[in-house]
Amino acid sequence: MMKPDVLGRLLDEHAAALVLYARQWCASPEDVVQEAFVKLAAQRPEPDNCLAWLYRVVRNGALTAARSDRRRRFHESYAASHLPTWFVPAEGTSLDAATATAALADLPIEQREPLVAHLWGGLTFEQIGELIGVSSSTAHRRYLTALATLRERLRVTCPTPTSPTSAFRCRTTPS
Amino acid sequence: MPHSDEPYERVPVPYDPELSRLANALADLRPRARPFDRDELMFRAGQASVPPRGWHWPLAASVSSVLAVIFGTALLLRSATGPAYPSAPAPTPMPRSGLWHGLEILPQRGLEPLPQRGLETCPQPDETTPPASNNDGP
Repeated sequence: MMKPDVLGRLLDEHAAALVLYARQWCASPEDVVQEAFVKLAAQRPEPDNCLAWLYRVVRNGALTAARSDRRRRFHESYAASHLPTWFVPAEGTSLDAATATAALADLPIEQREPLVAHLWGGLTFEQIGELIGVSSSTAHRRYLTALATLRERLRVTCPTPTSPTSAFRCRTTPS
Repeated sequence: MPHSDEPYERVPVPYDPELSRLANALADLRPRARPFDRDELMFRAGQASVPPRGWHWPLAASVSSVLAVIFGTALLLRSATGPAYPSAPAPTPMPRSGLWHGLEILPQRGLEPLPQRGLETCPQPDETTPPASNNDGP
């Protein structure tokens, strides 16, 4: 049985990323994520990897919610343009939240899904491959393709950090 | 935000510093999410964590209820049709004994009736029977 403190820690650390992941398909990602946590609490025995299990349940729930949406207008990139930014605007970040949202939303779902799962969810490519039903190398290739596409769309001009045409301000390379 | 600094841990890929910086910049963005009602979520999680009750007790209760209804209905129908026991026959007078018959016919024959008192305490045969006479003796 899942202990309450473990469940609370998972909620604090991963709920926002799970919401971002579910937002790619459905209009009510918070509800899907909440249901996933409730299902996790009911799991007997506890899953070996709770995070990967949560992503799988959230993915299934989001796809089901998207199918049951009668309006059918909320779909992938179309929905992105009608929603507020996917990220919290914050000072000190290299990317503008609205720009990043638009760039991400324009990506095909096949590329965006591994990117979101890896960057914000922290899943390994092996876990992502199991999640979306492809090999780990395919998941990684899609991730790299997504990054390359984003780089083009954000007009990255590294190493010119102050280029006025760039929405992405390159940081110094971490040592 | 969970972020792995080793995205290529299992899949060998050429390292591209530009893509790596872009990935880091993206990972710095914090996803927007409507705040969860933590109390409600924990309450629902607690409810869900309780194992479901087995089917034995509900089944036993249902069977008992059905049997109670069946027996109650049978009892009501049985009461409406009347008692199932046959009526007892009327009592028949006991035949008179020879002694009482004698009491009745004695006055008709001009004989003195027997005393009523003696009838109440009829002597036992061994009392009325005289003891064996001694005439038979030597």
